[in-house]
Amino acid sequence: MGGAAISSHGLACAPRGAVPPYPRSRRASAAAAAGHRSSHQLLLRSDLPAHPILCRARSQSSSSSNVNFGGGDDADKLLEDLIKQHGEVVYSSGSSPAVEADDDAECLSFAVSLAKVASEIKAADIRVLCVKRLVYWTRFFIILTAFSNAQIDAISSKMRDIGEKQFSKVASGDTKPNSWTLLDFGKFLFSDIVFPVAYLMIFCTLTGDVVVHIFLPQQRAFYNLEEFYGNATPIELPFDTQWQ
Amino acid sequence: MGSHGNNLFGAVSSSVEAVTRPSHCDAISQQIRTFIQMRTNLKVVDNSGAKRVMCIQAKSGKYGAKLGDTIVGSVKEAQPRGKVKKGDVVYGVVVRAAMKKGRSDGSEVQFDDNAIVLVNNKGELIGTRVFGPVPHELRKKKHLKILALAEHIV
Repeated sequence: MGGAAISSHGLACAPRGAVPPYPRSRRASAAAAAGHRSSHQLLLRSDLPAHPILCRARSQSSSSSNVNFGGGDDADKLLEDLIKQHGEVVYSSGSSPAVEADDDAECLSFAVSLAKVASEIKAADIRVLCVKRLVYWTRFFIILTAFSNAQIDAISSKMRDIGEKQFSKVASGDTKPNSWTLLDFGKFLFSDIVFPVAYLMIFCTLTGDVVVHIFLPQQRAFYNLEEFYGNATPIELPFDTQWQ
Repeated sequence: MGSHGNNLFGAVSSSVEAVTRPSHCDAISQQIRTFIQMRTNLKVVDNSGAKRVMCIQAKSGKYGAKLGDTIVGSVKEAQPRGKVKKGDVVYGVVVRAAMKKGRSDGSEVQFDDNAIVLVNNKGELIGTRVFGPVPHELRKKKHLKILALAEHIV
């Protein structure tokens, strides 16, 4: 995702360089021509001495600015100075192991409580897998088997209730029960490091927390998710998960 | 990732993804890719048995289907022992599109081919595994099942 980090302020660079072909940068250049004040890029561009250096970091092809760059080290050093001076971290995910462990513990408790709810409604074969290392878009999977549409309905409504009340997480997923019903308790997290003098965004990880898969018995064998995620560490549940 | 759109990849690599940045030489040397519409040939990237599908209808979108949309298609080529056979009318979800899709951080994603995953009309997947990279735009479009079965997410 490093490439994605640089591309966004390429748009600010484009008006300085050759003719920008895309509608987005065309808008920026038209805005530049019109002296339009409301765009971020314009407000920032005028007072940024280091801007050409940021441009250079993007790509050599488009920038025709004639500032002489000393070398990669200077640019890096300047960037770091700018970050220290002006940058404010709005959100950072995975910053320190303590914070991560707290997050994990919270998600784990959420997952375990969901699993307990499921076992109260007599779902079969509940497995909680920690897929944190395998998959970046979520932390835990809960896989369980239900036996009828009414049971699937009951499970999903109970889980949504718990999610909203106790953990304030909204579930997005299948509303109508299906032979494979999915509930996604996740949130998108973006991290912005916003410079007051330059517009640089760093796209950070999309971490959801818990994804619940509710299968009918034959679908569970058909899709075989446990085999696909065989490398995930299973989580011990403190109650009896095997019905039947 | 981060490869410039101008790179030529041989036919060996089935699908390549490029996170492109706007640059002035793109207009001269790149094709403008558009939507997936009627008569578009798409590759099938799950193990449902079909290999190529021709789009009959894009279920949503005035001009055609984009990444994450559902289409109706007719199977043009299928493996001999699969769950679908040639001539079947199937639904599919587009998982790779040659048209750029913008992301909220300003980057754009674009693949080298158009690929779909077969779905039935209730939205359940016909195949059990998805091959090749899939973008995480599918999460917003509520296609988490495809993400869960995908081998590589971009």
